[in-house]
Order: sequence, then C-alpha cells, then structure tokens
Amino acid sequence: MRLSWLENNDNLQANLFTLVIHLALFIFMIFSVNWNVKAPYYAEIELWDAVPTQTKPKPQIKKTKPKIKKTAPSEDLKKAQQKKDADIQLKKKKAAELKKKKAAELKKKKAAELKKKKAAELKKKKEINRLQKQLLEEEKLEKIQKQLLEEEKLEKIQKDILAQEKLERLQEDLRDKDLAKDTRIAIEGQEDLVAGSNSGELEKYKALIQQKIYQNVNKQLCGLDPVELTFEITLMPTGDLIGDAKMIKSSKIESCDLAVERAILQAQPLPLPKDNRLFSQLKKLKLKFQPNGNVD
Amino acid sequence: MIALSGVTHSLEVIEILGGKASQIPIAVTPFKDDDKNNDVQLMHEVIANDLSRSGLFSPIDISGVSQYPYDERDVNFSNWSALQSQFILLGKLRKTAVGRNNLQVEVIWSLVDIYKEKTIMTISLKGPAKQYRLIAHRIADIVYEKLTGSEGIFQTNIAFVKKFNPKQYSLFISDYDGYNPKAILNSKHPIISPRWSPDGKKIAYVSFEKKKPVIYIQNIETGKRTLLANFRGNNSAPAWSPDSRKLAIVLTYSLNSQIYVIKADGSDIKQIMRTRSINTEPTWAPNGKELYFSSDRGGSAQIYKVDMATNEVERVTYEGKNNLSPSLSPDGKLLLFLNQEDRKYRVAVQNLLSNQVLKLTSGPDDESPIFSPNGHMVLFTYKDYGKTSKIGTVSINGLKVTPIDVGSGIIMESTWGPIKN
Repeated sequence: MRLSWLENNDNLQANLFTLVIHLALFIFMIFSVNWNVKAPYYAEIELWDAVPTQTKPKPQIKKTKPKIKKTAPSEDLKKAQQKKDADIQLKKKKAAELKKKKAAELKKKKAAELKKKKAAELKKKKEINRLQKQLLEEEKLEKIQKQLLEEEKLEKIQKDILAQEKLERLQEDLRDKDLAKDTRIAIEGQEDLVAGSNSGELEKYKALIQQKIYQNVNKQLCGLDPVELTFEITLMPTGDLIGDAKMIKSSKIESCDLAVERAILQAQPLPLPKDNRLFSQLKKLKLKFQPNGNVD
Repeated sequence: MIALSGVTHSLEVIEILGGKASQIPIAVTPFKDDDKNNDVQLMHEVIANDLSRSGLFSPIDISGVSQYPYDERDVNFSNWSALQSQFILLGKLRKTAVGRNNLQVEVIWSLVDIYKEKTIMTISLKGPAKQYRLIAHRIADIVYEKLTGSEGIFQTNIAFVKKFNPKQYSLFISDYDGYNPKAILNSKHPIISPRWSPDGKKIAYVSFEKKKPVIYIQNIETGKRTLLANFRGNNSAPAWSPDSRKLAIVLTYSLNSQIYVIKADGSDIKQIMRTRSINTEPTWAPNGKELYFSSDRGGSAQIYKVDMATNEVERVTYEGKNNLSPSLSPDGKLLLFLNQEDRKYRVAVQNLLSNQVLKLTSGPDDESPIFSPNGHMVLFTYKDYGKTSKIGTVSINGLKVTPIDVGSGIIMESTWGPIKN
C-alpha cells in the first residue's frame, strides 16, 4: 500500500520524504546503538552473576528497558532497511525502467531512422523510375519529333509541288491572256529554264516512287539467293497503272515474281508531278528489283 | 505533243534494292454450312491459324463483315480491298452420309486475288468427317505453297516428351499444332532427344531405362524397338543422316563426349574426329557429307562443321558467349542454334551465305530448336512464366511466336517430323 502510494507520488516529494525519514532514523539509530552497546555489557555481567539468590529487578528492568528500546529501534531499522531496500529496488526498478525506456526509445529511434532510410530509398527508386520514364518519354518525344521532321520534309515537298502548280497556273493564266508573241517566247524560255532546273525535281519524284514501292516488297517470298526482276509500267496522271505491270525479267521464283508485282499494284497511286513535262518523263517507267540485295 | 512522243526517250529506270519482311494480309472467311459439331475450331479458323503461325500471313479481322461470300463470283473486290486484304479464301462445305455410320465432308473452296480481281484457284476436297482438321490443313498447305513458293507443313507431325511426374514419362506424337496427341512410349525413366527419321517411319531417342543413357530406334507404326547403342559410358544425341540409313551419335566411350557415325541397324560404328575437347550435338548437312556440331575447343561452346571425308573442321558461329544445339534448314542455307548471351538462351538463326544472325526468340530459357521440314518455322521449348517447360513455334522471320497447347504438365524434348509423301 505504502509502496504504491509512494509510487503514485511525485518523485521529488517522495525523495524528500524518504530523506527526512532517513535522517530521523539515522539519528535515532546512533542513540539506539549506544544503548545497544551498553545493554549487552550489562546483561553479560548480569548473566555471569546470575545467581538464584540475587534479585535483579532493577537490572532486569534495565535489561528489559534497553531490550524494548533495542527492539524498537531494530524493528524500526528493519522497517527502515526494508523501506530502504524497497527504495533501492524501486530506484533499481526505476533505473531499469528508465533503461528500458531509453532502449525502447533508441529502438524506436532506430526504427524511425530505418523507416526514414527506407522511405529515402523508395523515394530514390521512385525518382530513378521517374527519370527512366522521363528518359523513355524523351526518347518517345525524340521519335515523334523525328517523325514530325520527316512529316515536315514531306510537307515541304508537297509545298514545293503546290508552288510548282501555282507557277504552272500562273503561266497558264499568262498564256490565257494571249500576250504578245515576244512575251510568249520569253515565257517559254522561262519554262524551259524551269524544266531544266527540274532535274532535281525529277530525281525527287523517282525517289518518292521508289520509296512507295519498296515499302511493299515482301522479300521473304524471294528465297535467300540474290535475284533480279524487271517490270515496265505505264502511268496515268493520277498515279494509277494503265493495264498490268509488265514483267520483262523474271526472278524464276513464281512467289517472288508475284510478290513484286503485288508490291507495284499496292503502291498505287504512285506520287507524280503535276508538271506535264515532268510527268511525261515518268509516265513510262522501268522498275528494277533486287529484293535480296545486289546481284553482283 | 506528237513531236514529243515521237522522240525516242530512254525509259527512266527506278531501282528498288532490298525489301521488307512483311506478312501477306489475307481474308479467310467462314465456309458455307460449316458447323461446330465436335470440333473446337471451324475449318476457316484452322486454316487462318495455320497461315498465321507461319509468320508469312496475317489473316485480317473479318468480325465486322456482315455478309461473307461463298462463291468466287460473289466477292466484292472494292470492299475487301478497303479492308487491306490482298487475297480472300472462301468456300462451302457439304456433309454426306456414306454407308451407315460414315460421314463424308466435301469442301469447294477458292483463293481469289483482290488486286488483280481474279480467281487463282478453285479446288474441291473430299474426305471422311473425322479428317475435318486434316482437310483444313491441306487447304492451308495448298494456299501456302501457291503464295510463298514453299511446301506447307500444316499436315506434318511433331513428337514431344511429357513428364507427368518424376517416375512417369511418355513420348507423344501429334499433329504439328498439338492436336490428336498419341503416346507411343511410356516409361518410368526420362526420355530425351527424340529424332524423326527423314523417311518418317522411325523415331530415335535416348532412354535412361538401363540406368544410363542408351539409344533406341522405334518403328512408329508397329511400335517395335531396337537398341541402337548401348556402349560403355553414355550414349546420346542421335541424328539421322538425310537418307535415313545412318545416325551420328555421341559416346563417352573414351574420355569425354565424342561423335561417332553408326548404321541404323547398329553395325559399322566409326569415330569422326579424335580430339581432346568435347564434340557433341551432331547434325547432318543436307548434302550428307558434313556434320555440324558443338564443341568447347575454342574455350566456349561454339558451332563447327566437319567434312567427314577429310576430317577438316571449320568454326561457324562467332557471335555470343556460347552457341549450341545446331540444326540446318533443308536447303542448307540457314543454321539454327541456341545462342547464349547475358544469361539468356535464345533461339537464333544464321544465314550461312551472309553470316548474319537473327535472334528469333527472347528467351531466357529456350531449348531444343528444330526446323520445320520446309525451313520456314522453328519448333522449340521454353519456360512458361519462367517455370514449366512448354513447346511452341516461331517463324524464321521472328514475327510470329505461337505456343502449342498439348495440355498441362511439363512438355519438353520436341522434334518435328518430315513432310509425308
């Protein structure tokens, strides 16, 4: 009960209380010790002189007195000791508890640190993931940009075509206006100039046609050995074929001949210039195929 | 204008070098009066699956089409052209009772060229109803040959080993797509390296029933077995010669694995090469004069070839850490093997003319690659989800990998049978 009461009290108050009690007990103990020391002395003498004839009411009283006094302090001492022990135990307990508490705190701290660490790692991982994703996206973007660039190129080509068309229309308009002979000659001269400078334009359309057909050539149907095929085609201004693609030289592999023929048919309509002069140069074409790479 | 056309222009020439590895878009439409019965797939589905598995065709999605043509005259070219289809395969089915319990199936089918707007072929096929799938495979073979120039393999068989538990193994043969499996051997001991004889009559395999690997040859039709090789040490890796008369085998008779050639009746054994290094996994070149094999003579496992007349050896593979399990395409132009790189085993193919290597699968635990008899596909084993061994095919353009479903369990050690005559 007392212990629990003590426990329930404020530390300082309890300490003060025990200190006062201790001091009191200590002082009391010194006195009692004196008595204690004296008492056995007398008692000894009395014991040695213990003769039935002798009456020793006084020493007996004296004896009992210290005895009582002796027992009283000893009991108190015991109690004090007990209390002291209890206090020590309490202190020990408290210390142990404190230790435990500290250990627990340390543990907690460590756990928290670990958690933090883990969180940091996770964060790092996430960051890496994010970066990778970003990288991937950047790659994607690059791809898209590349595509865009290509599209832009195509657009440019188309624009060029449009410009060409515009020029043609302009020229036609000029012609329609039926200007004086000399101006017409001048225009024709200009036209020639245009056609002359258009060898690049011709190459461009050839490249476009080549690309479009190449996309469709399924070389898997041509075996593994180098083979060569030649076709001749005639085109409408729309880019569609007039009649069949005429095979001039066979690969000697039927599936290959057919695959290449399909590639040509599939590429319709082929890209053609609006310029009549240019078109007339591309109207009839010879297509040479080497699906498995160079023959020689 | 007249003056212009009168001028004899030399024609503009456009050169188109190379090409792509693409798939032919084809519409395979349901056949008229085809119904499910007991079959899991309808005839047009079997055909479409065959063509798709080859990697050379991509059957187009026809689910959105409201009306299918059953006759070549009913094809709406512009519609099918709009669906990007280059060909259409259509047909009709007729089932007639023959005798009491025999049902006969007749299919009249046409292959039509959409671009050229003309019929390539119309054929009628007949057979017993139980050969429903076989008829479908036959149609796929004819179409395949017409459009690719190569023989189709859709009517061929494969063999594989199924492990039911550590004490129960069976050697199965089935259709090439895994249908109609039939066990031809049951054993308490592992069975490995089955190899079909080129004449299609026998299968050689390695069995552990004598507490060590020995080689048996089993007649498929009669089931009769003969012991081909039970020499001192291990007897393994049988490989038939193109004429089915001899086999190359591997023995550890002397110190380590060495290659020997033995007649199919077990007589006349002789060693090919005598080296300190390991020589194993022999396979014949189609000319019957050379053997390709794997060896560690260069430090790592690589593929070499040996001329059997002169014993001259030449290294064939250089790419990758290790290359093993070689086999050759029927035309001898492609080498198929297992390529190991970055702890991954993948099926790879090397063009022996250009020495270009194409990795067909992504691994990481692929095994036992073997060519289809036309050299256009590869049968191989892989680990499903990194665990259970399964089998599948990959087209040699690497475009199409398809599993072969032969039920649950561990499926391994697969091999492809020849084209039946």
